[in-house]
Amino acid sequence: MLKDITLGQFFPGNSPLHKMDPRMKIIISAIFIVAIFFAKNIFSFALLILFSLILTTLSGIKHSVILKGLKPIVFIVVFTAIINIFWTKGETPLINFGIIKIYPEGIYTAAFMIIRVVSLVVGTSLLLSYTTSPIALTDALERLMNPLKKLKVPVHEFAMMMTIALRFIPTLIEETEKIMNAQKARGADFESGNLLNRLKALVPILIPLFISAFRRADELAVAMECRCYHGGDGRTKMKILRFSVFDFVWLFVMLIFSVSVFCLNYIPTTIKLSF
Amino acid sequence: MKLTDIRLENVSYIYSPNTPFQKEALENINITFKGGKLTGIIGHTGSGKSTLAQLLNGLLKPTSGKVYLGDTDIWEKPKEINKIRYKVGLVFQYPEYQLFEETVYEDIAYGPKNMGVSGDNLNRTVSEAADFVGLTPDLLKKSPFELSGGEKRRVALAGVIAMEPEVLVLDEPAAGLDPRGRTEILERIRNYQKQKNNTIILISHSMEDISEYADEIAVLKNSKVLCSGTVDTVFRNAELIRSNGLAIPKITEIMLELKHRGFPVSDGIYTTSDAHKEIIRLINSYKKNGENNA
Repeated sequence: MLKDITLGQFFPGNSPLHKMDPRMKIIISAIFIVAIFFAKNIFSFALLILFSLILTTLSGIKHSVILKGLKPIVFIVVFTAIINIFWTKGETPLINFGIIKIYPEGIYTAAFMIIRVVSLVVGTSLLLSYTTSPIALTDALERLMNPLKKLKVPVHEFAMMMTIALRFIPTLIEETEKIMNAQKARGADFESGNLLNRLKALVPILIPLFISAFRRADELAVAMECRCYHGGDGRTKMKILRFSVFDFVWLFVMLIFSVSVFCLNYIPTTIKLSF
Repeated sequence: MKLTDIRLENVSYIYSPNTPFQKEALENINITFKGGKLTGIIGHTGSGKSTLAQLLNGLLKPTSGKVYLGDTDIWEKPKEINKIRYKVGLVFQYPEYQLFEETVYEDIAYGPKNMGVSGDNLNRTVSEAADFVGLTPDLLKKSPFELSGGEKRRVALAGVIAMEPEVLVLDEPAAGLDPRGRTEILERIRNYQKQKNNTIILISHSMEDISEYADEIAVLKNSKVLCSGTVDTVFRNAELIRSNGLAIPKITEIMLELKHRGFPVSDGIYTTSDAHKEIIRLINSYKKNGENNA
């Protein structure tokens, strides 16, 4: 069912990750991403895994949820791993089938690639999507992009559009389901026939969906005007974001982590990587 | 036309089973909707009315239990569930939001076309359906989006009627219409049922509407059938319905109150015209008594 798709899968909670200022989360995620791409040897990768595990434990999010979140990237991960295994050249091949040669370097590269992608997804989704509500996230983005206002970038408008878009995703999913059911009751068939027929079968869903989306947009615009919405100027916030000491501790930890990743790269190892 | 019963046997339905969002919408429902009758289903929001409607035409598959249309289990051949959907027409809440074609005619013809009806037969069934819901032929050439809210609703209704279903299920057909629109659409449904003599299931939360138009009533409460039967028998249980937090028709409430105050009025009065007769009878009997005493 369409409803089972989880989008912006926020899990309310009270963990240290939940309590962090969303702006700090964005900054920390950025540092984390950079650190991931600095990691180059087995020690720095070990630290990466350790850090991801610590984040997982601190967040209090169930492991099954995190594993489920990794499903969409399984294909990419497997694909890049296979490419790495077969295409990385080394000195002495581990397996030699004539044309196909597998080098130990290839396997290491593939393994590190997997760790890299998985910790990237786990880390950022723990910091951003699982523990931060979409509203807090757009609010934080707006604050962080505030300096761009000087360059006449309509920051507030972008943030508002994002908030509204996020807000309406579940509504539209529900609406799609309703319309699909109504057309099914009139004998519409979405599951059989060739591609062209299936595309044609979408018309009776898309047209009512567009019409209702426009209607909703119109109603929302009127409702916003009734409440004197006139953009971001002079608008006050109910929740004012303030950095706490705690947030700076996080920043500090994160910086130490990245520096360590960077330094660990210099410990000599026998495993050679091709990146 | 043959009369088709539709029967639910120990039907339960659970939304998102085995997840934290698990919710039991219907629990062990046993009920028969009699062929050729207009049955009203009534209950609070969240009592499982709409789930029940979708179980009847196979949009939802019961988690356990069976749904029979006539003598056939509708899920016997899951691949042919579409055939069941042709036999059991379902009109959703606010069906006007499902209109999409360029003309009213085309929109009404969408269902029959999916069934493989064409040519003269299609023409006949569309104009017949349009006639049943009171759409004039000149409206058929218009775009459905030019019509008024009430007209759109009737187009959507015609779209299902045109499929000539044996059983017609209507989920809140009068919701959001003004009083005149309500009476009009409900009258049309009643007349359609009388002419076609087919089975109609009308879901509503207005006791007034149900008592006025239905032959039988089923009351749903917290995913279960609280009581069911003819309008008479159900409203004889007015106290039970009221104690379960459901409104009974205003007129029945008045009659109950009269009874509480010691007037010998009969139970099971739920339309204004019946109440009128009853009160006249009562007054006459008092007059008689008065004359006798004098």
